[in-house]
Amino acid sequence: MTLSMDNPMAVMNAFKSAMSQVRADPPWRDAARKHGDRWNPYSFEGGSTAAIAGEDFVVVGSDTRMSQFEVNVMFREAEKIHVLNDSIILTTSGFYGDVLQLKRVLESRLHKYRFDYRTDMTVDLCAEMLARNLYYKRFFPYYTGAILAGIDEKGRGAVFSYDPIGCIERLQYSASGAAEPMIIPFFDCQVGQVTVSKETEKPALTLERAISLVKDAFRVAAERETSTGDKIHLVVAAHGKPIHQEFLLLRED
Amino acid sequence: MAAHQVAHRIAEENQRTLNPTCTGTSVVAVTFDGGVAIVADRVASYGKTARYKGVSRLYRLNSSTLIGFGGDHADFQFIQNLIYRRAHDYKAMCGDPDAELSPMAVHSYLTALLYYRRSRMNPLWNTLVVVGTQPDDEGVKKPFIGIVTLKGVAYHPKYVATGLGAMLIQQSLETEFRKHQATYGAETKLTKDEAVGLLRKAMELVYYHDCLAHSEYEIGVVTTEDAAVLPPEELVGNWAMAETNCNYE
Repeated sequence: MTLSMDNPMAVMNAFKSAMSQVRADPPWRDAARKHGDRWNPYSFEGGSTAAIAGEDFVVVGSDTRMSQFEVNVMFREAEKIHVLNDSIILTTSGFYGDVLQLKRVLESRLHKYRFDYRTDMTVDLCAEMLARNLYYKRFFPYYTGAILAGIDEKGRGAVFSYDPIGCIERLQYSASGAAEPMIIPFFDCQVGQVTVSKETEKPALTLERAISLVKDAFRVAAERETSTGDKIHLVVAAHGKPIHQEFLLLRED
Repeated sequence: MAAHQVAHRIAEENQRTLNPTCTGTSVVAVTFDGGVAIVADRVASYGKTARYKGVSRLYRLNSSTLIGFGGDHADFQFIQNLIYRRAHDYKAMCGDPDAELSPMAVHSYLTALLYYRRSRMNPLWNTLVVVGTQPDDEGVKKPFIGIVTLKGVAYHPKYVATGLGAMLIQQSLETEFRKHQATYGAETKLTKDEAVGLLRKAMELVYYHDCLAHSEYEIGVVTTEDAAVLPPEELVGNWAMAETNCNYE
């Protein structure tokens, strides 16, 4: 139908619909701008975490800094390591809102497991469960670099590393967060010993050595990585012993 | 774009707080021996305009809890209504007209609420500061500060400045705390008067540096006995500096 002033109502309606269309989707808002204008439900609070598994122990470390906009320290005593039961330790980095939610989800699942089976869940089972919980949110992920550590069913140290959407891998050592690219090569050299020559002496991984390596990793990271610092939170689980926790001071600048 | 998509997009723009409208700026809170003090100025800004003056940004929930907010004023009024009803339901649930929600309970509720709303991509545009005295396992009331941001990030600091104050005066609060600890030992706490004095000083700093801050502010104090929002105070400030500044065009 052609519009003419013989039918002013139709002209008005056509104008109105064109107006609302251009208001809702103006031609100057190209694809990139539309994407950029969308509200970002994530924020990043920085910080790093790492874990090393040994024969019958596991050492988990993280810093305790929570930063804002990558420039401002919001809080110096944030807990990123969560002891879920006597043999499971969850350590996280990334978006702290998701970290809190993920922790709540796991705690309630563990609670239900304890109620149903009258025993604590083992880290092997929890590792699989965490992977599934992460993948369940595949299209709106928990933005957390999670590492699950603990003493497994056979009494050995276990470290499970995840990406935000639930890819799972059991490793001897892992790191996640802002200083991951610094800590991983350090562990490759000192724990995995994949970057040293055959002639180099290769010391065995004792509990003392693992603890020292984790401390060193965070001291190195705090020197060069701005969102890592304040304190090292160190958690040690050994087969047949209660979980031990301590805090050590780090750079605060 | 089809008509229903257009309608949906307009609805999305109008029905979600994706840009805050009338906003409050910084809130500052510090713990002291036996309680918590909190301060916020009394203005709601529309962009850079001081739109509504004499608006309180501290909400006294009960005798052990105060809630301060930064961010969208309308969203806070909505939250205020929810909390009020929640507190009312709690009294009914306990069968006790004197039953009161503890600050930690309120903080947990607000954390879940704000995280839920951000997960629905429909955030409540507020940074909430819940302060109060929280009974520990032995029933002894301990100072409590809980923060929640609009994305559901929550933490419990001993002192805090939110909004632009986080950038401007968080460090001076920390310096004061550390100075105090260096003088009196690591376990020492501020007295109530020291805490309130510190907040007045913080408010002056915020007023000098934050364009949105206002000279009229109010202080809230929670002790083990009661929670109270004190009468508004007016800040004059020292503007002698203006005489020597020649860089005006």
